[in-house]
Amino acid sequence: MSALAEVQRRLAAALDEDNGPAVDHLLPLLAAGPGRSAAARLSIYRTSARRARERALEQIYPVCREILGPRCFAALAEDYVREFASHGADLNNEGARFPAHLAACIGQRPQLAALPYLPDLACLERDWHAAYYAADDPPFDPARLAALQAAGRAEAAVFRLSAALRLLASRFPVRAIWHSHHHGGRTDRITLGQGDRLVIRRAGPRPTVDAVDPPVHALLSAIADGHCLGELATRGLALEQLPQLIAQGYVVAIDDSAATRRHSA
Amino acid sequence: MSAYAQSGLAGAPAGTRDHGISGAGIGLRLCHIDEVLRQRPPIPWMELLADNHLAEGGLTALHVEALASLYPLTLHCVGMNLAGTDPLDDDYLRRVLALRERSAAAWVSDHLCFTAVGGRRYHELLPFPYTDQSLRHVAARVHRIQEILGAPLVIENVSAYLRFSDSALGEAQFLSALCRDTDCRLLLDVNNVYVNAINHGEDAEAYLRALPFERVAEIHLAGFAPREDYLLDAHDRAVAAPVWDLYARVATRLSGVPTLIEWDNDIPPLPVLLAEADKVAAITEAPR
Ligand SMILES: [Fe+2]
Repeated sequence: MSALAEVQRRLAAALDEDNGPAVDHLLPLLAAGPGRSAAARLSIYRTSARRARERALEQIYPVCREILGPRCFAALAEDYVREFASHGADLNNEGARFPAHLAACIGQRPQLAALPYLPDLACLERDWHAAYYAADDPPFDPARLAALQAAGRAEAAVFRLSAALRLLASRFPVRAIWHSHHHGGRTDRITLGQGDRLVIRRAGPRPTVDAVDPPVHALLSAIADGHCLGELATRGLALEQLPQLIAQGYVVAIDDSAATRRHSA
Repeated sequence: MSAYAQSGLAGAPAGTRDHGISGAGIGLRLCHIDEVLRQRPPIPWMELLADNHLAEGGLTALHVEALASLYPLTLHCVGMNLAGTDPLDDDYLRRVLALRERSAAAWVSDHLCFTAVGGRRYHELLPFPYTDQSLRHVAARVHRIQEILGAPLVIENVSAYLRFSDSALGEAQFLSALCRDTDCRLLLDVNNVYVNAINHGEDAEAYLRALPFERVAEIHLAGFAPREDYLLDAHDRAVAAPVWDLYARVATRLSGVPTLIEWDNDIPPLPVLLAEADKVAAITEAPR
Protein backbone atom coordinates (compact mmCIF):
# COMPACT_ATOMS: atom_id res chain seq x y z
CA MET A 1 0.00 0.00 0.00
CA SER A 2 1.32 3.45 -0.88
CA ALA A 3 2.12 5.92 1.88
CA LEU A 4 -0.75 8.11 0.67
CA ALA A 5 -3.22 5.22 0.80
CA GLU A 6 -2.00 4.34 4.28
CA VAL A 7 -2.55 7.90 5.56
CA GLN A 8 -6.03 7.96 4.06
CA ARG A 9 -6.91 4.58 5.48
CA ARG A 10 -5.82 5.69 8.94
CA LEU A 11 -7.76 8.96 8.73
CA ALA A 12 -10.88 7.11 7.57
CA ALA A 13 -10.55 4.54 10.34
CA ALA A 14 -10.26 7.35 12.87
CA LEU A 15 -13.48 8.87 11.51
CA ASP A 16 -15.27 5.54 11.78
CA GLU A 17 -14.73 5.26 15.50
CA ASP A 18 -15.22 7.83 18.23
CA ASN A 19 -12.04 7.10 20.12
CA GLY A 20 -9.71 4.21 20.60
CA PRO A 21 -6.83 2.65 18.72
CA ALA A 22 -7.66 4.04 15.25
CA VAL A 23 -7.38 7.62 16.51
CA ASP A 24 -4.11 6.81 18.29
CA HIS A 25 -2.86 5.29 15.05
CA LEU A 26 -3.50 8.51 13.14
CA LEU A 27 -2.23 11.10 15.62
CA PRO A 28 1.52 10.53 14.96
CA LEU A 29 0.95 11.50 11.30
CA LEU A 30 -0.58 14.86 12.15
CA ALA A 31 1.23 18.15 12.56
CA ALA A 32 0.70 20.00 15.80
CA GLY A 33 -1.15 23.26 15.37
CA PRO A 34 -2.45 26.15 17.45
CA GLY A 35 -5.81 25.96 19.18
CA ARG A 36 -7.59 22.72 19.68
CA SER A 37 -5.92 19.34 19.77
CA ALA A 38 -5.61 17.15 16.68
CA ALA A 39 -8.13 14.71 18.16
CA ALA A 40 -10.61 17.55 18.65
CA ARG A 41 -10.03 18.79 15.10
CA LEU A 42 -10.61 15.27 13.83
CA SER A 43 -14.04 15.35 15.42
CA ILE A 44 -15.00 18.30 13.19
CA TYR A 45 -14.78 15.96 10.22
CA ARG A 46 -16.45 13.10 12.03
CA THR A 47 -19.46 15.21 12.97
CA SER A 48 -19.75 16.79 9.55
CA ALA A 49 -19.44 13.51 7.64
CA ARG A 50 -22.16 11.88 9.75
CA ARG A 51 -24.43 14.90 9.57
CA ALA A 52 -24.28 14.88 5.76
CA ARG A 53 -25.64 11.35 5.71
CA GLU A 54 -28.18 11.96 8.47
CA ARG A 55 -29.52 14.98 6.55
CA ALA A 56 -29.86 12.79 3.45
CA LEU A 57 -31.91 10.28 5.48
CA GLU A 58 -34.13 13.09 6.79
CA GLN A 59 -34.83 14.16 3.23
CA ILE A 60 -35.55 10.65 1.96
CA TYR A 61 -37.72 9.55 4.93
CA PRO A 62 -39.78 12.62 5.97
CA VAL A 63 -42.95 10.66 6.84
CA CYS A 64 -41.09 8.12 8.99
CA ARG A 65 -39.45 11.07 10.72
CA GLU A 66 -42.80 12.72 11.34
CA ILE A 67 -44.22 9.53 12.82
CA LEU A 68 -41.19 8.79 14.99
CA GLY A 69 -40.56 12.38 15.99
CA PRO A 70 -37.31 14.18 15.16
CA ARG A 71 -35.39 12.95 18.20
CA CYS A 72 -36.25 9.28 17.83
CA PHE A 73 -35.57 9.46 14.08
CA ALA A 74 -32.24 11.19 14.69
CA ALA A 75 -31.18 8.42 17.08
CA LEU A 76 -32.11 5.70 14.56
CA ALA A 77 -30.38 7.58 11.73
CA GLU A 78 -27.26 8.02 13.84
CA ASP A 79 -27.16 4.29 14.57
CA TYR A 80 -27.64 3.53 10.89
CA VAL A 81 -24.84 5.85 9.77
CA ARG A 82 -22.52 4.33 12.38
CA GLU A 83 -23.37 0.77 11.46
CA PHE A 84 -23.48 0.96 7.65
CA ALA A 85 -20.81 2.64 5.56
CA SER A 86 -21.79 4.74 2.57
CA HIS A 87 -20.67 3.30 -0.76
CA GLY A 88 -21.90 5.75 -3.38
CA ALA A 89 -20.96 9.31 -4.27
CA ASP A 90 -24.63 10.24 -4.72
CA LEU A 91 -26.33 11.03 -1.40
CA ASN A 92 -29.68 10.54 -3.12
CA ASN A 93 -28.93 6.81 -2.96
CA GLU A 94 -28.08 6.98 0.72
CA GLY A 95 -29.91 4.74 3.13
CA ALA A 96 -31.06 1.92 0.84
CA ARG A 97 -30.90 -0.42 3.83
CA PHE A 98 -32.60 1.98 6.24
CA PRO A 99 -35.96 0.10 6.04
CA ALA A 100 -34.17 -3.13 7.05
CA HIS A 101 -32.43 -1.21 9.84
CA LEU A 102 -35.84 -0.01 11.10
CA ALA A 103 -37.16 -3.59 10.98
CA ALA A 104 -34.23 -4.79 13.08
CA CYS A 105 -34.71 -1.94 15.57
CA ILE A 106 -38.42 -2.69 15.95
CA GLY A 107 -37.51 -6.21 17.02
CA GLN A 108 -35.09 -4.84 19.62
CA ARG A 109 -36.79 -1.73 21.00
CA PRO A 110 -40.12 -2.13 22.81
CA GLN A 111 -41.01 1.56 22.28
CA LEU A 112 -41.18 0.89 18.51
CA ALA A 113 -43.38 -2.21 18.83
CA ALA A 114 -46.52 -0.15 18.10
CA LEU A 115 -45.18 0.73 14.63
CA PRO A 116 -44.92 -2.62 12.83
CA TYR A 117 -45.74 -0.93 9.48
CA LEU A 118 -42.77 1.44 9.68
CA PRO A 119 -40.26 -0.61 7.62
CA ASP A 120 -42.74 -0.95 4.74
CA LEU A 121 -43.56 2.74 4.95
CA ALA A 122 -39.82 3.43 4.77
CA CYS A 123 -39.64 1.23 1.65
CA LEU A 124 -42.36 3.34 0.10
CA GLU A 125 -40.46 6.55 0.85
CA ARG A 126 -37.17 5.09 -0.40
CA ASP A 127 -38.83 3.89 -3.62
CA TRP A 128 -40.59 7.22 -4.16
CA HIS A 129 -37.25 8.99 -3.81
CA ALA A 130 -35.55 6.54 -6.19
CA ALA A 131 -38.33 7.01 -8.76
CA TYR A 132 -38.01 10.79 -8.46
CA TYR A 133 -34.29 10.64 -9.33
CA ALA A 134 -34.46 7.80 -11.88
CA ALA A 135 -33.41 8.30 -15.49
CA ASP A 136 -36.03 8.93 -18.18
CA ASP A 137 -36.98 5.86 -20.22
CA PRO A 138 -36.36 5.55 -23.96
CA PRO A 139 -39.62 5.33 -25.96
CA PHE A 140 -41.11 1.86 -26.37
CA ASP A 141 -40.22 0.24 -29.69
CA PRO A 142 -43.04 -2.10 -30.84
CA ALA A 143 -40.93 -3.34 -33.77
CA ARG A 144 -38.78 -5.25 -31.30
CA LEU A 145 -41.56 -7.70 -30.33
CA ALA A 146 -42.67 -8.00 -33.97
CA ALA A 147 -39.11 -8.94 -34.92
CA LEU A 148 -38.97 -11.62 -32.23
CA GLN A 149 -42.36 -12.95 -33.36
CA ALA A 150 -41.24 -13.05 -36.99
CA ALA A 151 -38.17 -15.02 -35.91
CA GLY A 152 -40.40 -17.44 -34.00
CA ARG A 153 -38.78 -16.32 -30.75
CA ALA A 154 -41.63 -14.42 -29.06
CA GLU A 155 -41.41 -16.80 -26.07
CA ALA A 156 -37.90 -15.54 -25.40
CA ALA A 157 -39.00 -11.92 -25.08
CA VAL A 158 -37.94 -10.33 -21.81
CA PHE A 159 -39.79 -7.18 -20.84
CA ARG A 160 -38.07 -4.34 -19.09
CA LEU A 161 -39.86 -2.15 -16.56
CA SER A 162 -39.49 1.61 -16.42
CA ALA A 163 -36.33 2.78 -14.63
CA ALA A 164 -38.64 5.07 -12.64
CA LEU A 165 -40.89 2.24 -11.41
CA ARG A 166 -40.73 0.36 -8.10
CA LEU A 167 -43.00 -2.38 -6.78
CA LEU A 168 -44.02 -2.73 -3.18
CA ALA A 169 -46.18 -5.28 -1.39
CA SER A 170 -47.13 -4.78 2.24
CA ARG A 171 -49.63 -6.35 4.61
CA PHE A 172 -50.18 -2.84 5.99
CA PRO A 173 -52.08 0.06 4.39
CA VAL A 174 -48.86 2.03 3.89
CA ARG A 175 -50.22 4.01 0.94
CA ALA A 176 -53.05 5.43 3.05
CA ILE A 177 -50.65 6.21 5.89
CA TRP A 178 -48.23 7.92 3.51
CA HIS A 179 -51.03 9.92 1.86
CA SER A 180 -52.54 11.02 5.14
CA HIS A 181 -49.19 12.38 6.30
CA HIS A 182 -48.71 14.23 3.06
CA HIS A 183 -52.05 15.90 3.55
CA GLY A 184 -51.66 16.67 7.23
CA GLY A 185 -54.07 13.94 8.27
CA ARG A 186 -54.07 11.40 11.07
CA THR A 187 -53.13 7.77 10.90
CA ASP A 188 -55.14 6.49 13.85
CA ARG A 189 -58.31 6.10 11.75
CA ILE A 190 -56.82 4.07 8.92
CA THR A 191 -58.21 0.55 8.74
CA LEU A 192 -55.89 -2.35 8.22
CA GLY A 193 -57.63 -3.66 5.08
CA GLN A 194 -56.19 -6.39 2.91
CA GLY A 195 -52.70 -4.96 2.59
CA ASP A 196 -51.19 -3.00 -0.28
CA ARG A 197 -49.97 -3.93 -3.76
CA LEU A 198 -48.33 -0.76 -5.02
CA VAL A 199 -46.67 0.64 -8.10
CA ILE A 200 -44.51 3.67 -7.34
CA ARG A 201 -43.71 5.34 -10.56
CA ARG A 202 -42.79 8.61 -12.17
CA ALA A 203 -44.45 9.52 -15.45
CA GLY A 204 -44.85 13.28 -14.99
CA PRO A 205 -42.54 15.45 -12.92
CA ARG A 206 -43.20 13.66 -9.60
CA PRO A 207 -43.78 9.99 -8.79
CA THR A 208 -47.25 8.70 -7.98
CA VAL A 209 -48.14 5.80 -5.69
CA ASP A 210 -50.85 3.65 -7.25
CA ALA A 211 -52.62 0.62 -5.83
CA VAL A 212 -52.90 -2.21 -8.37
CA ASP A 213 -54.73 -5.54 -8.37
CA PRO A 214 -52.77 -8.53 -7.06
CA PRO A 215 -52.60 -10.24 -10.52
CA VAL A 216 -51.07 -7.09 -12.07
CA HIS A 217 -48.61 -6.83 -9.19
CA ALA A 218 -47.66 -10.48 -9.60
CA LEU A 219 -47.08 -10.04 -13.33
CA LEU A 220 -44.96 -6.91 -12.83
CA SER A 221 -42.93 -8.65 -10.11
CA ALA A 222 -42.20 -11.60 -12.41
CA ILE A 223 -41.15 -9.20 -15.16
CA ALA A 224 -38.92 -7.37 -12.68
CA ASP A 225 -37.33 -10.71 -11.83
CA GLY A 226 -36.36 -11.11 -15.51
CA HIS A 227 -38.66 -13.97 -16.53
CA CYS A 228 -39.21 -14.27 -20.29
CA LEU A 229 -42.62 -14.35 -21.94
CA GLY A 230 -42.63 -18.16 -22.09
CA GLU A 231 -41.99 -18.39 -18.35
CA LEU A 232 -44.64 -15.76 -17.58
CA ALA A 233 -47.14 -17.90 -19.52
CA THR A 234 -46.07 -21.11 -17.75
CA ARG A 235 -46.65 -19.41 -14.41
CA GLY A 236 -50.22 -18.56 -15.42
CA LEU A 237 -49.72 -14.83 -14.92
CA ALA A 238 -52.19 -12.24 -16.20
CA LEU A 239 -50.59 -11.77 -19.61
CA GLU A 240 -53.77 -10.15 -20.99
CA GLN A 241 -52.69 -7.09 -18.96
CA LEU A 242 -49.46 -6.64 -20.92
CA PRO A 243 -50.73 -4.27 -23.64
CA GLN A 244 -52.21 -2.03 -20.96
CA LEU A 245 -48.92 -2.07 -18.96
CA ILE A 246 -47.03 -1.06 -22.10
CA ALA A 247 -49.55 1.70 -22.85
CA GLN A 248 -49.18 3.00 -19.27
CA GLY A 249 -45.41 3.13 -19.63
CA TYR A 250 -44.83 0.51 -16.92
CA VAL A 251 -43.15 -1.77 -19.46
CA VAL A 252 -40.73 0.23 -21.59
CA ALA A 253 -38.63 -2.20 -23.61
CA ILE A 254 -38.26 -5.75 -24.85
CA ASP A 255 -35.05 -7.71 -24.94
CA ASP A 256 -34.32 -11.19 -26.28
CA SER A 257 -33.76 -13.52 -23.30
CA ALA A 258 -31.27 -15.65 -25.27
CA ALA A 259 -29.32 -12.54 -26.19
CA THR A 260 -29.59 -11.22 -22.64
CA ARG A 261 -28.25 -14.49 -21.21
CA ARG A 262 -25.41 -14.64 -23.70
CA HIS A 263 -24.56 -11.11 -22.74
CA SER A 264 -24.46 -11.76 -19.02
CA ALA A 265 -22.73 -15.13 -19.29
CA MET B 1 -2.26 27.08 -27.63
CA SER B 2 -4.06 25.28 -24.87
CA ALA B 3 -4.95 21.62 -25.24
CA TYR B 4 -8.56 22.59 -24.60
CA ALA B 5 -9.26 24.98 -27.45
CA GLN B 6 -12.88 23.78 -27.65
CA SER B 7 -13.70 24.32 -24.02
CA GLY B 8 -14.85 27.41 -22.19
CA LEU B 9 -11.41 27.71 -20.64
CA ALA B 10 -9.34 27.87 -23.81
CA GLY B 11 -6.47 30.29 -23.86
CA ALA B 12 -5.37 32.86 -21.34
CA PRO B 13 -6.26 34.59 -19.19
CA ALA B 14 -8.27 32.02 -17.27
CA GLY B 15 -11.15 34.42 -16.74
CA THR B 16 -12.01 34.96 -20.41
CA ARG B 17 -15.58 36.03 -21.00
CA ASP B 18 -16.69 34.19 -24.13
CA HIS B 19 -18.37 31.52 -21.99
CA GLY B 20 -20.68 34.11 -20.45
CA ILE B 21 -19.37 33.60 -16.90
CA SER B 22 -18.47 37.03 -15.55
CA GLY B 23 -19.28 39.27 -12.63
CA ALA B 24 -20.82 38.13 -9.36
CA GLY B 25 -22.88 34.93 -9.41
CA ILE B 26 -24.56 32.79 -6.79
CA GLY B 27 -24.47 29.11 -5.97
CA LEU B 28 -28.04 28.07 -6.79
CA ARG B 29 -29.48 25.74 -4.17
CA LEU B 30 -32.50 23.43 -4.58
CA CYS B 31 -34.78 25.58 -2.42
CA HIS B 32 -34.44 28.57 -4.79
CA ILE B 33 -34.85 26.84 -8.16
CA ASP B 34 -38.63 27.31 -8.49
CA GLU B 35 -38.37 30.98 -7.57
CA VAL B 36 -35.51 31.60 -10.01
CA LEU B 37 -37.35 29.87 -12.85
CA ARG B 38 -40.55 31.82 -12.10
CA GLN B 39 -39.07 35.26 -11.54
CA ARG B 40 -35.92 35.05 -13.66
CA PRO B 41 -33.98 37.59 -11.60
CA PRO B 42 -31.04 39.23 -13.37
CA ILE B 43 -28.13 37.12 -12.08
CA PRO B 44 -25.01 37.17 -14.30
CA TRP B 45 -24.30 33.46 -13.79
CA MET B 46 -24.94 30.61 -11.40
CA GLU B 47 -23.19 27.53 -10.12
CA LEU B 48 -24.97 24.22 -9.58
CA LEU B 49 -23.81 21.67 -7.04
CA ALA B 50 -23.40 18.90 -9.58
CA ASP B 51 -24.03 16.19 -7.02
CA ASN B 52 -27.60 17.47 -6.50
CA HIS B 53 -28.40 17.38 -10.21
CA LEU B 54 -26.99 14.09 -11.46
CA ALA B 55 -30.41 12.52 -12.13
CA GLU B 56 -30.78 11.76 -15.83
CA GLY B 57 -34.49 12.40 -15.94
CA GLY B 58 -37.53 13.76 -14.16
CA LEU B 59 -37.86 17.20 -12.66
CA THR B 60 -34.13 17.44 -11.87
CA ALA B 61 -33.13 17.20 -15.53
CA LEU B 62 -35.98 19.49 -16.63
CA HIS B 63 -34.85 22.13 -14.14
CA VAL B 64 -31.27 21.93 -15.35
CA GLU B 65 -32.34 22.39 -18.96
CA ALA B 66 -34.61 25.31 -18.06
CA LEU B 67 -31.85 27.00 -16.07
CA ALA B 68 -29.35 26.44 -18.86
CA SER B 69 -31.67 28.21 -21.30
CA LEU B 70 -31.78 31.27 -19.02
CA TYR B 71 -28.37 31.59 -17.35
CA PRO B 72 -24.71 30.80 -17.92
CA LEU B 73 -23.88 27.94 -15.56
CA THR B 74 -20.88 26.23 -13.99
CA LEU B 75 -20.79 22.89 -12.16
CA HIS B 76 -19.26 22.34 -8.75
CA CYS B 77 -18.60 18.73 -7.67
CA VAL B 78 -17.77 17.13 -4.34
CA GLY B 79 -17.42 13.49 -5.40
CA MET B 80 -14.47 13.13 -7.79
CA ASN B 81 -12.19 12.04 -4.95
CA LEU B 82 -9.26 13.81 -6.66
CA ALA B 83 -6.64 12.83 -4.10
CA GLY B 84 -8.21 9.46 -3.33
CA THR B 85 -6.40 6.17 -3.79
CA ASP B 86 -9.49 4.16 -4.75
CA PRO B 87 -10.00 3.85 -8.52
CA LEU B 88 -11.76 6.82 -10.13
CA ASP B 89 -15.54 6.42 -10.07
CA ASP B 90 -16.25 6.08 -13.79
CA ASP B 91 -20.01 6.02 -13.36
CA TYR B 92 -19.92 9.25 -11.36
CA LEU B 93 -17.69 10.92 -13.97
CA ARG B 94 -19.96 9.73 -16.77
CA ARG B 95 -22.94 11.29 -15.00
CA VAL B 96 -21.04 14.54 -14.43
CA LEU B 97 -20.15 14.63 -18.12
CA ALA B 98 -23.80 14.03 -19.07
CA LEU B 99 -24.82 16.83 -16.70
CA ARG B 100 -22.23 19.11 -18.24
CA GLU B 101 -23.86 18.55 -21.60
CA ARG B 102 -27.38 19.09 -20.24
CA SER B 103 -26.36 22.27 -18.44
CA ALA B 104 -23.96 23.63 -21.10
CA ALA B 105 -21.77 24.44 -18.11
CA ALA B 106 -18.73 26.56 -18.91
CA TRP B 107 -16.56 24.43 -16.64
CA VAL B 108 -16.53 21.81 -13.91
CA SER B 109 -14.79 22.17 -10.56
CA ASP B 110 -14.01 19.96 -7.58
CA HIS B 111 -11.86 20.19 -4.45
CA LEU B 112 -8.27 19.33 -3.58
CA CYS B 113 -9.14 16.54 -1.17
CA PHE B 114 -10.11 12.90 -0.89
CA THR B 115 -13.67 11.79 -0.15
CA ALA B 116 -13.52 7.99 -0.15
CA VAL B 117 -11.15 5.18 0.74
CA GLY B 118 -11.52 1.41 0.74
CA GLY B 119 -14.89 1.78 -1.00
CA ARG B 120 -16.30 3.85 1.86
CA ARG B 121 -17.63 7.31 1.06
CA TYR B 122 -17.26 10.04 3.66
CA HIS B 123 -19.17 12.90 1.96
CA GLU B 124 -16.61 15.26 3.41
CA LEU B 125 -13.60 17.10 1.95
CA LEU B 126 -10.79 15.23 3.68
CA PRO B 127 -7.20 16.50 3.77
CA PHE B 128 -4.06 14.61 2.79
CA PRO B 129 -0.29 15.28 2.98
CA TYR B 130 1.13 17.54 0.28
CA THR B 131 4.16 15.54 -0.88
CA ASP B 132 5.89 14.78 -4.18
CA GLN B 133 4.25 11.37 -4.18
CA SER B 134 0.77 12.76 -3.64
CA LEU B 135 1.41 15.42 -6.28
CA ARG B 136 2.23 12.76 -8.89
CA HIS B 137 -0.79 10.76 -7.79
CA VAL B 138 -3.26 13.66 -7.96
CA ALA B 139 -1.78 14.92 -11.25
CA ALA B 140 -2.33 11.52 -12.89
CA ARG B 141 -5.95 11.50 -11.75
CA VAL B 142 -6.54 15.08 -12.89
CA HIS B 143 -5.09 14.18 -16.30
CA ARG B 144 -7.48 11.24 -16.58
CA ILE B 145 -10.50 13.31 -15.52
CA GLN B 146 -9.60 16.06 -17.98
CA GLU B 147 -9.43 13.43 -20.73
CA ILE B 148 -12.92 12.26 -19.80
CA LEU B 149 -14.32 15.79 -19.55
CA GLY B 150 -12.43 17.03 -22.59
CA ALA B 151 -11.73 20.22 -20.67
CA PRO B 152 -9.48 21.52 -17.93
CA LEU B 153 -10.69 20.77 -14.45
CA VAL B 154 -11.02 23.71 -12.07
CA ILE B 155 -9.65 22.78 -8.64
CA GLU B 156 -10.57 24.50 -5.39
CA ASN B 157 -8.48 25.04 -2.27
CA VAL B 158 -10.26 23.69 0.84
CA SER B 159 -10.72 24.50 4.49
CA ALA B 160 -8.62 21.83 6.19
CA TYR B 161 -8.78 21.25 9.92
CA LEU B 162 -5.77 18.91 10.00
CA ARG B 163 -2.24 19.28 8.70
CA PHE B 164 0.19 16.39 8.22
CA SER B 165 3.75 16.35 9.51
CA ASP B 166 4.76 14.74 6.18
CA SER B 167 3.63 17.69 4.07
CA ALA B 168 6.70 19.03 2.26
CA LEU B 169 4.62 21.64 0.44
CA GLY B 170 1.92 24.06 1.42
CA GLU B 171 -1.46 23.81 -0.29
CA ALA B 172 -0.69 26.82 -2.50
CA GLN B 173 2.64 25.33 -3.67
CA PHE B 174 0.89 22.02 -4.27
CA LEU B 175 -1.82 23.68 -6.38
CA SER B 176 0.81 25.65 -8.27
CA ALA B 177 2.71 22.46 -9.14
CA LEU B 178 -0.55 20.76 -10.09
CA CYS B 179 -1.37 23.58 -12.54
CA ARG B 180 2.10 23.26 -14.04
CA ASP B 181 1.80 19.47 -14.41
CA THR B 182 -1.80 19.17 -15.63
CA ASP B 183 -2.86 22.48 -17.20
CA CYS B 184 -5.75 22.56 -14.71
CA ARG B 185 -7.31 25.84 -13.50
CA LEU B 186 -7.94 27.09 -10.00
CA LEU B 187 -10.97 28.02 -8.01
CA LEU B 188 -9.73 30.34 -5.29
CA ASP B 189 -11.98 30.19 -2.23
CA VAL B 190 -10.99 33.31 -0.30
CA ASN B 191 -12.96 32.25 2.76
CA ASN B 192 -11.05 28.96 2.88
CA VAL B 193 -7.74 30.83 2.72
CA TYR B 194 -8.82 32.99 5.64
CA VAL B 195 -10.23 30.09 7.71
CA ASN B 196 -7.00 28.09 7.28
CA ALA B 197 -4.84 31.10 8.13
CA ILE B 198 -6.67 31.54 11.43
CA ASN B 199 -7.01 27.85 12.29
CA HIS B 200 -3.40 26.94 11.55
CA GLY B 201 -1.70 30.26 12.27
CA GLU B 202 -0.68 30.51 8.60
CA ASP B 203 -0.05 33.65 6.56
CA ALA B 204 -2.86 34.34 4.08
CA GLU B 205 -0.77 36.86 2.12
CA ALA B 206 2.09 34.37 1.73
CA TYR B 207 -0.46 31.77 0.60
CA LEU B 208 -1.77 34.10 -2.09
CA ARG B 209 1.76 35.01 -3.23
CA ALA B 210 2.49 31.30 -3.83
CA LEU B 211 -0.59 30.84 -6.01
CA PRO B 212 -0.37 31.18 -9.83
CA PHE B 213 -3.01 33.90 -10.22
CA GLU B 214 -3.04 33.59 -14.00
CA ARG B 215 -4.63 30.15 -13.49
CA VAL B 216 -7.54 31.34 -11.36
CA ALA B 217 -10.80 30.89 -13.29
CA GLU B 218 -13.22 31.52 -10.44
CA ILE B 219 -13.38 32.91 -6.91
CA HIS B 220 -15.61 31.69 -4.07
CA LEU B 221 -16.82 33.67 -1.10
CA ALA B 222 -18.74 32.18 1.83
CA GLY B 223 -19.43 32.73 5.51
CA PHE B 224 -17.62 30.90 8.29
CA ALA B 225 -18.99 30.12 11.76
CA PRO B 226 -16.74 31.15 14.66
CA ARG B 227 -16.48 28.33 17.19
CA GLU B 228 -14.81 28.48 20.59
CA ASP B 229 -11.28 27.83 19.34
CA TYR B 230 -11.50 27.62 15.56
CA LEU B 231 -13.42 28.82 12.51
CA LEU B 232 -15.79 26.38 10.80
CA ASP B 233 -16.25 26.70 7.03
CA ALA B 234 -20.00 26.47 7.57
CA HIS B 235 -21.44 28.35 4.56
CA ASP B 236 -24.31 29.30 6.85
CA ARG B 237 -24.16 33.10 6.96
CA ALA B 238 -22.95 36.23 5.18
CA VAL B 239 -19.31 36.68 4.23
CA ALA B 240 -17.28 38.00 7.18
CA ALA B 241 -15.64 41.44 7.13
CA PRO B 242 -12.01 40.19 7.16
CA VAL B 243 -12.83 37.88 4.23
CA TRP B 244 -14.22 40.85 2.29
CA ASP B 245 -10.97 42.71 3.08
CA LEU B 246 -8.90 39.80 1.79
CA TYR B 247 -11.14 39.58 -1.28
CA ALA B 248 -10.69 43.28 -2.01
CA ARG B 249 -6.91 42.74 -2.07
CA VAL B 250 -7.26 39.62 -4.26
CA ALA B 251 -9.68 41.36 -6.64
CA THR B 252 -7.13 44.04 -7.54
CA ARG B 253 -4.90 41.27 -8.91
CA LEU B 254 -7.70 39.16 -10.38
CA SER B 255 -9.67 41.81 -12.19
CA GLY B 256 -12.35 40.21 -14.35
CA VAL B 257 -12.32 36.81 -12.66
CA PRO B 258 -15.93 35.76 -11.89
CA THR B 259 -16.85 35.56 -8.21
CA LEU B 260 -19.50 33.40 -6.56
CA ILE B 261 -21.39 33.60 -3.27
CA GLU B 262 -21.83 30.17 -1.62
CA TRP B 263 -24.49 29.66 1.06
CA ASP B 264 -25.38 26.04 1.88
CA ASN B 265 -26.85 25.91 5.38
CA ASP B 266 -29.53 28.13 6.97
CA ILE B 267 -30.04 29.35 3.40
CA PRO B 268 -31.64 32.84 3.36
CA PRO B 269 -34.30 34.16 0.98
CA LEU B 270 -33.03 34.73 -2.56
CA PRO B 271 -32.90 38.56 -2.25
CA VAL B 272 -30.44 38.24 0.66
CA LEU B 273 -28.16 36.12 -1.53
CA LEU B 274 -28.43 38.57 -4.40
CA ALA B 275 -27.62 41.47 -2.07
CA GLU B 276 -24.50 39.58 -1.01
CA ALA B 277 -23.53 39.23 -4.66
CA ASP B 278 -24.10 42.99 -5.12
CA LYS B 279 -21.40 43.63 -2.52
CA VAL B 280 -18.95 41.90 -4.85
CA ALA B 281 -19.77 44.35 -7.60
CA ALA B 282 -19.41 47.25 -5.17
CA ILE B 283 -15.85 46.11 -4.41
CA THR B 284 -14.73 45.19 -7.91
CA GLU B 285 -16.23 48.30 -9.48
CA ALA B 286 -15.07 50.75 -6.81
CA PRO B 287 -12.56 53.32 -8.07
CA ARG B 288 -9.12 52.53 -6.81
FE1 LIG C 1 -15.91 27.01 -2.10
